[in-house]
Amino acid sequence: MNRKEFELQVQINQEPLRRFLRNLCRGDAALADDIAQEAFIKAFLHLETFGGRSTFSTWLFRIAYNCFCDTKKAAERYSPVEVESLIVTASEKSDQAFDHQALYLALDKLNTKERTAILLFYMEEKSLKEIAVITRMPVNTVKAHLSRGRLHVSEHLKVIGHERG
Amino acid sequence: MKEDNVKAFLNSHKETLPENGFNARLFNTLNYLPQPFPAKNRSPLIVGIFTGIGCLLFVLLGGYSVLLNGLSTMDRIFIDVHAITPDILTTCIMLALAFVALIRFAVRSYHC
Repeated sequence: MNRKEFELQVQINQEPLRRFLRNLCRGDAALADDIAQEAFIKAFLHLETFGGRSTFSTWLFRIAYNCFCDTKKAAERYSPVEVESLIVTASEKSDQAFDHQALYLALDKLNTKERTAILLFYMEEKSLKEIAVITRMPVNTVKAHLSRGRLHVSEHLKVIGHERG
Repeated sequence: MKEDNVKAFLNSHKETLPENGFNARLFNTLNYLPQPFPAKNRSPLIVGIFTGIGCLLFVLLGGYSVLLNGLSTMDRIFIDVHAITPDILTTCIMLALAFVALIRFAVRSYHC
């Protein structure tokens, strides 16, 4: 893959990737875009390692998820308590976060793995196999996280009165 | 029902993010990074080297005569199992492995 092909892939994938990261960061747009940029740069620097065994999008999401995990770990190492509150504070300040507050509150009920599985499956329409590749988890584990995540979101929706039928 | 509810909720909150100069900033950063080079496919070279080594060993160790002897006595295997000598067994295993490796390489090359 050359520079032009990579730029085309950036144009195709930037929106779903940034949306996934923004939801994963519960509305912190600046942090999400920083992680997305880091992921794209890492992908660009390691283009020769992309073997085509998965789609470019899956490979990119995997890099981005790893970047997110690294950022989270690094932040927790330096200030374990402040990170969560920082993300919530940032999301509260953002206008977009206000519009999507219900979503972020629902995602807040999930742990990172459940949130990742739910977002990739329902919002980014990835298959179980693709999620397994992105998160490096067996398919059955992904199914379990998805099931638990669905249950937690469903319970939250009941509480806020969003339940249908 | 539960799944439909969750799916509908998440779909209704699916954002369409404006690009907001993200691509331009990224492409600008990429200008200062080492440009990617196409990955070199070294498989033909590796296969060639090992085929050469294999042929050399085959010739040097008298593999041709062993192979002929082994193949000429193969019909006895079906009559008398005790007729299987280590030579025949080794020949069969090596031939099978060579065929598997050849087919695997052919399939991989075709997909690439």
